[in-house]
Amino acid sequence: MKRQWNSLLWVGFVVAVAGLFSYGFFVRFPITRDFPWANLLLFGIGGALLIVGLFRAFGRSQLYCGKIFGSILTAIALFLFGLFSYEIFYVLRQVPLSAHAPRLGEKAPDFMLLDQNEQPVGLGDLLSGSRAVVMIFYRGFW
Amino acid sequence: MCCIAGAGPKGADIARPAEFLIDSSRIVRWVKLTENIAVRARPEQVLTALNQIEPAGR
Repeated sequence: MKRQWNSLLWVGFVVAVAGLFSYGFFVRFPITRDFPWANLLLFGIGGALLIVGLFRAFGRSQLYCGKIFGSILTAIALFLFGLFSYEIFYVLRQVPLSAHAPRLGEKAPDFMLLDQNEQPVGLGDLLSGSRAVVMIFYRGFW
Repeated sequence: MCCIAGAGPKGADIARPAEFLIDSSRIVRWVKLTENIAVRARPEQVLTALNQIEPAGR
């Protein structure tokens, strides 16, 4: 009897790959950037499909193929999930503690920096006539 | 103080992501030191903090 194509393995693999590469899309929205639940959901769906596909390949091997390529696809998907988790939950959190950063209620130190026109601008200049100043230290290099 | 050592071009130190709200008397009224480079203060968070110091500034 000819065995059936084990489509769940391929669908699961594609969904798991989408879980990795869709981060570039989901990172545009704060709700999916602050915690990557959408990507984790895709990885979860992909993993579930791969597991079901593997059960079919090994448990009903007379009906379904996919023992070898199913195992390979699952291993690749696991590697991609590990890579994603390492980047998101470890690399992106390597931020210094900044124990000496100004705290709430402290007086901000004065500073002088050059603006886009190479003109010196100080904190006092920014605060003169203003209710407040928002200082944003954006990461300087990606 | 607020640097990521050696993460910039040619090994230079770069600023660590941080946001401060400083009122007219130079007092720090709000601080956001993220623990995740991808997570930054949202505009509405900054506006909320700004609105909270508005009565004192008037």
